[in-house]
Amino acid sequence: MYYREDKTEDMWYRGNEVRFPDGTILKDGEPKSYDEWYWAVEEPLAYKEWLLRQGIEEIIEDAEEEIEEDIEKG
Amino acid sequence: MESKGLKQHTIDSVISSIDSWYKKEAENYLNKVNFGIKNDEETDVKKYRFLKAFDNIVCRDMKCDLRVTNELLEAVSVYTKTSTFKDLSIDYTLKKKEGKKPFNEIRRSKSTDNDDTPPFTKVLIYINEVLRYEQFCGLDLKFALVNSLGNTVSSTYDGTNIVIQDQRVSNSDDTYDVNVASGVDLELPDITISNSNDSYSVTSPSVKDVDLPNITLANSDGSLTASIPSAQDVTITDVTISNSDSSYSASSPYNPNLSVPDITVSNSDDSYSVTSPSVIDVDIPDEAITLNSAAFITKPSKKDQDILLKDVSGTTITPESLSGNTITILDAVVDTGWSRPTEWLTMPSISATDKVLYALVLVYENGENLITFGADLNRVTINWGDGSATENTQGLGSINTHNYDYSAITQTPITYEGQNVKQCIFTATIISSSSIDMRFINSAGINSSGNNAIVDILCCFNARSVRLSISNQYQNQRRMDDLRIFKCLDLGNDASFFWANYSWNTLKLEIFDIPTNGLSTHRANNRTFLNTIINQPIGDISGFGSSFNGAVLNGGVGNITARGSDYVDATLVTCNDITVVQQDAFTRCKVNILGSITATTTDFRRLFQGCTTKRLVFASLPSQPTNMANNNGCFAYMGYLEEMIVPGLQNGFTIAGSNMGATALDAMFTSLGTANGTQTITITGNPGAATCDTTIATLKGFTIVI
Repeated sequence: MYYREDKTEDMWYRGNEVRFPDGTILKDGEPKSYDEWYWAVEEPLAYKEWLLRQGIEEIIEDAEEEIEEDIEKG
Repeated sequence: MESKGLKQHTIDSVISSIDSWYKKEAENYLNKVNFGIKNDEETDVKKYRFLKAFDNIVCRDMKCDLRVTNELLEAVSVYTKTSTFKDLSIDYTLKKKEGKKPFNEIRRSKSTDNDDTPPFTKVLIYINEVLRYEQFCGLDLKFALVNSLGNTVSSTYDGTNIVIQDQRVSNSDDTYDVNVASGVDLELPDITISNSNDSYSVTSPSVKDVDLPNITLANSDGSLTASIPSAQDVTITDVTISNSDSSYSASSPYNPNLSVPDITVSNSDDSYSVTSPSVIDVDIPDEAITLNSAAFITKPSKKDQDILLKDVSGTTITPESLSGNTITILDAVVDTGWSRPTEWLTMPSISATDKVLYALVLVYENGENLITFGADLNRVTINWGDGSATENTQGLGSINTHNYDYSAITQTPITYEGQNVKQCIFTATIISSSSIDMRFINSAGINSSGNNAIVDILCCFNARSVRLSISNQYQNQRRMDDLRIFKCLDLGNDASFFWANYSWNTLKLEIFDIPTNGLSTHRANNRTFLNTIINQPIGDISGFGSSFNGAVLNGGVGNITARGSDYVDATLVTCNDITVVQQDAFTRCKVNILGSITATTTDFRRLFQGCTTKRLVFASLPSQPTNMANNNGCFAYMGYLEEMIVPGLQNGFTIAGSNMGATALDAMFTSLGTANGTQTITITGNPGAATCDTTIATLKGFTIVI
């Protein structure tokens, strides 16, 4: 699977085949990397950590939002 | 020139001939003839005799073919003052130079000589060796050379022959013009008669009349033919163009490029009108039928279509009326398997102008039956319905409370959920024109044993501004879990009728009967209808933020205006058009969006994440929404999604695991704008991912993850 981390957006992308505007195609590990994308057989640790963090952050965001709305609307 | 059978004489030969003749005829005379001597007159030989002899020699024996030399002529002229010679060629120039008369002016005439004139001798005139005429010598003989019409024919004399001038043979415009020797047969060449492209060409003898064959004028299928003389101008009859029923008919001069006017195809009110070339088959586009503004069917135009009206169980519904484009059916009655218990007291009659709230209170045999109700001071009169005194409200801070005494109520109890209950009709009558907040609070209607008291509410707040809360606004308060019916004829004038946070949540309403614009104009508050179940269509709906979280609106809704988190975890079944004002609006919402979406919010955080809709067709959306990738993406986990249109979108997103085919993906790519920098669209897991045309998107700058 190819992976790319977008640290600016705090986002991970992944897929078995990636097609670029310049015509480059990454498929099934060939080539191994291109333009911040790289091939990994197993999920990168950073990706796993990001997934965990997403779940926790969502719970926190919901709670924060609920509190804000309660305050706002009385 | 030597003629055939004649010989060319010389002086010697003439002399020889004369000598020979004279030896036989005038032997004695000849001895004194000497052509070389000019003074022959001295001889005793009679001139005429000599000349006769000579004449005979030349004209008869020599067949007049003697070519006379100058010397001979000189000699002859001496002896031929009155005589001429036949057919002697002579050099005219020479004769003239010598002062002699031209030979052709020499005339043979009857001699006027005296008696000494020798007797006439005949001159035989041969024409073309055929004796034609005899003439005495000494007589002029004049011939005219004429043709059969008596016209003089020009000729020349070449010293031997009279040469008739060639005859000119020509046609009227001299395109044929030849000279023909007289007497020679002229065979005129055949003429060729042909048309302009030589498709017709025949050869015919000249001068002979030629009958050109008729031409046949025909149309392409031979249905019309006419035989017309050749080379004759033909006026083609005007053509008449008409349609099959002659409602259109026009005559026009024949023209191979005749144009038929366009036809206009239109419907009865001209809402559809197109101009089309005549004769060409016209495909009328399919027509769409919408139902309450939502797409319904697309069908071939002008094709009768029967529409079936059925309920969800498949039973055919007979409309109450059909008028214009409106099908009127009876009010929807959703069979939820629930019906109002017949043993419940009948609610009071209510009219559209009333300002009152009735509530059916179940008073349990066991437990405390405390009802707490608050409203603005002295704006509402309360009748608890058990025979106790009425009272005015004390204000929301003081709250009116009433503890029903089961034993004091003179009434035959009924059994409700296994318990004996008696029934009272609670009445709250508005006695003020001021705005009013009213609320059942502090676990209102729930007795100390956990039983719910109020099961049916009927109200009308005509011309009043009312906000109604049927439970406490705090999140974890108990609710009117057994309230089954809420019916309001008039929600009044306050747009925040469904007041306030959490206060209408966790209800299980079997009947929720409010005016059709109720939930669109009388907005709810934060989580107001949290987890509430409503089993009836509720029309257009507008939230105020998280208003319908977890709500189950089994009757479906109309158009939606969605604010933040309004429909998170909600079940809406179907809806029409959506206007999205804030983020998180449809996260995990169970709804199939039949209409289109207008997004005015730029924050797309989790906007449709996990939504079950099959269609996500934006009419418009910001080109660069924010937070599209937050929490895995605003369109993530949309497993039922089959169609998605995002006009002009410049940001990436993921629809991994959705249900879009190649055609749908291509259409989605086509709707995209140009990527805003590096943008990634993930389509992994979609049925059409492998076969869609990703170049539609990559040419716009997007990176596609398959």
